[in-house]
Amino acid sequence: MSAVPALLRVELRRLLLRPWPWVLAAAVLGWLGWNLLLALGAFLKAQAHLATLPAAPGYTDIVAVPLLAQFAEIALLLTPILSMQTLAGERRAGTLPLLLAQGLPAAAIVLGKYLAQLLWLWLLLALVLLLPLLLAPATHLDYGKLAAATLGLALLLAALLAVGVAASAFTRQPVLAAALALAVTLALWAGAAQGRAPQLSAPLLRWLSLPTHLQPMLRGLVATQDLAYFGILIALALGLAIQRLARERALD
Amino acid sequence: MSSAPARLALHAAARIRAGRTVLSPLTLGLRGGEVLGLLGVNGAGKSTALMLMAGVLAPTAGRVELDGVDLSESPRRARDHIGYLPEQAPLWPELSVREQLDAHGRLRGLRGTALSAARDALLERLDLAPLRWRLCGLLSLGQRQRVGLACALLHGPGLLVLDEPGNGLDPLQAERLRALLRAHAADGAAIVISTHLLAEVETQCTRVAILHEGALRHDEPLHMRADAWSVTVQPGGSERARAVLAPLAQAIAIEEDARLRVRLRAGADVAAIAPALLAAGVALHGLEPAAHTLAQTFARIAGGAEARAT
Repeated sequence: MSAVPALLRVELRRLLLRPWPWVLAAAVLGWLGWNLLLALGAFLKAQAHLATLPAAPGYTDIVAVPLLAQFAEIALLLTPILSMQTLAGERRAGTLPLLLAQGLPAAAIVLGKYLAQLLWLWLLLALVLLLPLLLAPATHLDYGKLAAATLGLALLLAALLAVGVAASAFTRQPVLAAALALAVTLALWAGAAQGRAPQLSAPLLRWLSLPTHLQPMLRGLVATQDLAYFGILIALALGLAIQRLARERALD
Repeated sequence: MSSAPARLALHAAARIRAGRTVLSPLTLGLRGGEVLGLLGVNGAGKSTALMLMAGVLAPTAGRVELDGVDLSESPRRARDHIGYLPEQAPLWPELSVREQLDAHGRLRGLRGTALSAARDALLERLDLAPLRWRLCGLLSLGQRQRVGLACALLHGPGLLVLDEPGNGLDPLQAERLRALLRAHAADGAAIVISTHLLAEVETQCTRVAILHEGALRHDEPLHMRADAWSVTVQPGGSERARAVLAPLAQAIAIEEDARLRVRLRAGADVAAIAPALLAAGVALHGLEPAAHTLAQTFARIAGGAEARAT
């Protein structure tokens, strides 16, 4: 696994040199910045009404956390676009054999690439987080709740990216990889809605769905079972990607 | 033939994909200093054989050994001792030439001054120094090929596996490549070159192997090709000719009624054949090199004649 840091460095460098991740980041920040202004306007307008309530929601509940929740929805589309090149793009460009020829284990290749993209996504998350934090000196922020929401979002990004990397391991067409990742992601996202149906499988569907485990953290509640869910999902997806790549060397 | 152990050894290494045999069991050995030219028509299994040799693919059956160690059991040996250049050097387009070499070096375990010294030496040697800051995505085919070659050579591998290394190179660059490979072989590296250019094989290689329909049809040192002669004598005179030429020959085969294939003993002179036959009263109707040219051998095998015969 000593190759992981070397590959991570290469992948980070490549990611930082590509224009489209920055275009995506700019678009995301622009959109969320605009929404922050709208939410802030609504929050200020509602001040008089909120003052009459005994336990009125504050800036964190009305502006900061909803902004992060909005980023979570954007991430459903963003991560498949970011991850589609991971292995499918290398395969298509013919650069995958170069990595395999260097005797790198499949796990090192998958982890190196995954971690580089995850660092980039977390950097974007940090920039998104700066938006509500800019107003921290002028308002009261519930840092505990914000930290829990940030943790939830960081785990969601890690899970979505792992799904995207797994999808990318199964095809040589990046667009197909993105479509596959999006389909899986949407199925996991919609599981909560289906889980409300009074069926035998409802509890399972509800447990499988991403929002079931993200929502408590957005409300400031960090539970071990939610952390375990994200951990299992990430390990499963990366394990699939590693297995597929190892199989490529041995059998395909 | 030297008794040195093989640097690269394929022991019945085969590759089967989706139930189809892409490469039949291939047994081949290559010592340090040898340059093997691998020939075959498109789809003959050359690229698969090269990928097995480079450790990119694992054999479905059999094994591939590098200095006696099975590559499947020790893939790290591939990283440390094999340089591989696939056809149309695949490079990361976002990186500059220098970054590309640095990235490959780090992945191969090179660090610090060892990396920068190896990188700078290759940039100079392959005439890439003026291009060091250019993005790889903007390079011409020949430039890409040279960068790919630099990546393959960066860690001083003991085995070089090159798929069409002369792609896109101008005559001057091609000559420089030949000189570089000669120097590398002289330093003890084993080199495998796959190419469609038979002249390249004849000028660069010490051995030639021909793959056809996924099987090895021919494997012979190039320098042994000219010591066999085709001798045509009067009809019915082949047995007598064989007896006459026996003292000169290492092996004699009667191919047709009046034609013999004679492989001369070491030190025997072809000029002695005609006087010996004439002195014995055997009319000599023809004398020519029996070994086909590489082009003829290749055409025969690729055309299927040798495949049918075997």
